[in-house]
Amino acid sequence: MHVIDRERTRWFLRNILPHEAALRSWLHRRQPFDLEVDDIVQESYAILADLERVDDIRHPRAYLFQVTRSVIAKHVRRARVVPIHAFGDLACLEQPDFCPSPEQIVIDRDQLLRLSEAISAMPAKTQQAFILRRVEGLSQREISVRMAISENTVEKHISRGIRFLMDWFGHGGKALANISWQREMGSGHFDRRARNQSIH
Amino acid sequence: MATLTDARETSRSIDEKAADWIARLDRGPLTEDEARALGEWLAGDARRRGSLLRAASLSTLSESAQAIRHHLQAQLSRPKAAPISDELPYDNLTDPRGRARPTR
Repeated sequence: MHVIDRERTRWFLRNILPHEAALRSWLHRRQPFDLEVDDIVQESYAILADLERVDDIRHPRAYLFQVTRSVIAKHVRRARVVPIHAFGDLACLEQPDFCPSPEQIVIDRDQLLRLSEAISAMPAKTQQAFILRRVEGLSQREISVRMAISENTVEKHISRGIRFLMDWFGHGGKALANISWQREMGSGHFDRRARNQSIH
Repeated sequence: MATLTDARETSRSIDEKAADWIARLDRGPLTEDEARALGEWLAGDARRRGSLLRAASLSTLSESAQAIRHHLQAQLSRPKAAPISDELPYDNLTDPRGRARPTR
């Protein structure tokens, strides 16, 4: 399992994440058979996480789309009744954007910009903790002293920050405002975390 | 734990837990129990591995925040009049790209 393997993470960041927006809009355009786009993306990434090695993938973008097509195809096959139109859609799936992305060169800059946007948009306390951790390089313990909050709360703010990034990069800043995020950021959210019981 | 009928965990709640794990890993080494819990969590629904990989890579990306600290500071120091509260929606935020435009 390479999920939290540093090298896999970096590879993913450099080679896959920059294409997520394209992948998502491709999926949205096709509305694949009632499947949730988020589910498909997660499943596709799971395949990338499970790969024994990735250094032999020469065209990550094309590979990503191919993996996603296989995920969709798997769901289509699994469905007991396959609607006729699904085959038509599958044909469309044969032709995703295969060419290496022209925006490849500016990607790092773009990602940094989006990162900057996202951090700027974080809720105040979360933002403060996140900046102390990621910009100032303080440890979570040091942050708890600085902000006079418990270390557990710092950890929760970091988790919020990460999730904020996940939403921001997945759905864009605009989309964030109106969806369930608001509600979830309300009180009680952290009280009902569903982490495994053995953790304290 | 599932609040709705039952069925599948939502991709959203998976993302939530993935973020929790990344934050926990960011805090320091896991205890044996935690490491086992993480292993068990990951061995479940495949989407969890996809979500955790994505969360980890975004966390790695956020380490580059140091490189843009000046940009970030400039951006954050400007709209002091309207601080972002935890309850506020995001519409009144300034676009960082707007920063090129000097305010007079």
